[in-house]
Amino acid sequence: MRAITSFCLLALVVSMVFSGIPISVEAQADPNILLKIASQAQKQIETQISNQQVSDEVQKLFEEGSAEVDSLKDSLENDDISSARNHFLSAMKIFKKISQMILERPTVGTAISVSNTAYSLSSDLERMVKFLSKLKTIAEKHDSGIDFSEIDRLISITKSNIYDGNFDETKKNIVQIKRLLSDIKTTLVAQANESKTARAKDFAQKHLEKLANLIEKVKNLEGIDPSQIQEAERILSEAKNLLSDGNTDEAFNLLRTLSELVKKLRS
Amino acid sequence: MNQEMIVPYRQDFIQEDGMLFVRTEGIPPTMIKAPIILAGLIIVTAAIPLQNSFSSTKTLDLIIFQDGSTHVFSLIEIDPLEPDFTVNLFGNSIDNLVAVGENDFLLYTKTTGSSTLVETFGSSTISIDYDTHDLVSKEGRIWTFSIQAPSDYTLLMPQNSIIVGMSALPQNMELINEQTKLSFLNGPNEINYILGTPTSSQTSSSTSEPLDNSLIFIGGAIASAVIIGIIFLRKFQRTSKKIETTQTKTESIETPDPETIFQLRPNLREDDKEIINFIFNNGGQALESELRKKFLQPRTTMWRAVKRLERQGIIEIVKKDLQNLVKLKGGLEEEQ
Repeated sequence: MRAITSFCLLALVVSMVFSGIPISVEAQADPNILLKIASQAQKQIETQISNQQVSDEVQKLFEEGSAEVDSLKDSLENDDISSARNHFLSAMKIFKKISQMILERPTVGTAISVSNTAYSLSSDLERMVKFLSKLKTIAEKHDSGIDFSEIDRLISITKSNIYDGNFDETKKNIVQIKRLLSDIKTTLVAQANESKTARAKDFAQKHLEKLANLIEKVKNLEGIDPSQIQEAERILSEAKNLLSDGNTDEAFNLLRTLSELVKKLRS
Repeated sequence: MNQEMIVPYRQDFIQEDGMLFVRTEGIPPTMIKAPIILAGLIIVTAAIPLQNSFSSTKTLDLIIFQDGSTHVFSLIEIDPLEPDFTVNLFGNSIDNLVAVGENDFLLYTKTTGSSTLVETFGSSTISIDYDTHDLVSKEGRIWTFSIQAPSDYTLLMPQNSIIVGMSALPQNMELINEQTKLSFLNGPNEINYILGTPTSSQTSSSTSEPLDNSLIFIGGAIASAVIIGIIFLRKFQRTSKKIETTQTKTESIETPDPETIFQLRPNLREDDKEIINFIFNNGGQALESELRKKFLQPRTTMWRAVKRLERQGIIEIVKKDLQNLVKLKGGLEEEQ
């Protein structure tokens, strides 16, 4: 019996200790990912340096990086994960260094300018589409009655404009979409505020009950200043009155003050 | 009042019960109390994950866009007994923030600097969506994503991006619509990548295959035609520049003065105002390199500042001789 109990106690203590350790131990990386990423970087660097004249230093660094990728491959074949990780990090460090050395000079100016504008505008649009999707979910869930047809139409036009390289028109569209999104959010916030008061009141009532219980507990503890207890009870009573009068904002301010006071009393 | 308040309550509560530390001394000689200790330990063991789960990030998904902005989605479990909760954001430059409680209920938020206060009112789970412009910087053609992640996270890389440097070990990698999605553990990470134009990425993917001579010939001819076209275009632009000078003069008149800009954009940062003043005094335009020299700012800091002003519609960035020319925009309107 004693042995069983001791064993159970030990098992529980061990489980308590291990439950506090971050979950990182659970996650094991797929080691082949490391080879995929490193190989892609190696291939990219190789393409870059084969298209331009590079210094001996860059060439030497590339050879070092490639050697690290080979070692990474060998380590994975030998199931030596720890070594594979080191080779991966070393290879990526070298490839980053080479990139910084060779990619400073842009290639064709006009091509980069056009692609930068396209990237920037399409990113703007992507972000807005994502934001709109979130707002739609909220609106649909609460039957807000918002009409999304105009913004959907504008997004569709903007996509076509980006595809056609009509960037001036796209910029105008994006300004319009931004405005519509802002209007939709304002409407949703206004609708949410209508029901916020009821939720806030409900929450405040529960929270005040909890604080009242805590004050009762603290009251009987030794070394507590009675004047502080009186102050807490006064605030509690006032907050309850404000809440019943429908003055939720003021009640919340007092609720926050009271929480701080109770926290101080308990410490 | 925020989430941190409740944690001491919980710790105090366990100490007040005193089961762990008071009664264990008497256990070994008197086995009768063993079941009580066992029960206590079971409760404590079960409570630990629960305690950990309060105000902890359950999901963190990041999406990097091609212009370096990042969308953040975070699902956080919070204490339902607290009226509000402060969320630390990734950076100060935040757009499109939406906080949603249970049942997709829109929650009120107040963002100050890099944190936002969310009125949760009893929600036990909230989700936050926003875009940040502070996680990715650019130097030359290399983009660098840097993060100090508070929890494990996934990262969707932009289309046509090629990773050339990484400081942390990825846990998983998958391909979603030609975009690489990586999973990482919490902690610091820095990823360096470059963006290939659609044509260049195609070229890189086909470099291992032997090229047909006729293709090289056609490619060469097209390239020569493009180069000749560019030369002619530049010559034409030079000759037509003189004619256009009168037009540019009228354009510069339309550029708003700094005071008007500050009135229309009252929340501008002081350093951004100085940049605007400088550009205005410089005839309404300045090279980004000139701004860097003037304000002694590193390339990435100035790039962020310029992008910030561009986002607010105050300036536009134009390529000129492989450099960024920053111009004050005309027709600035009041923010909605």
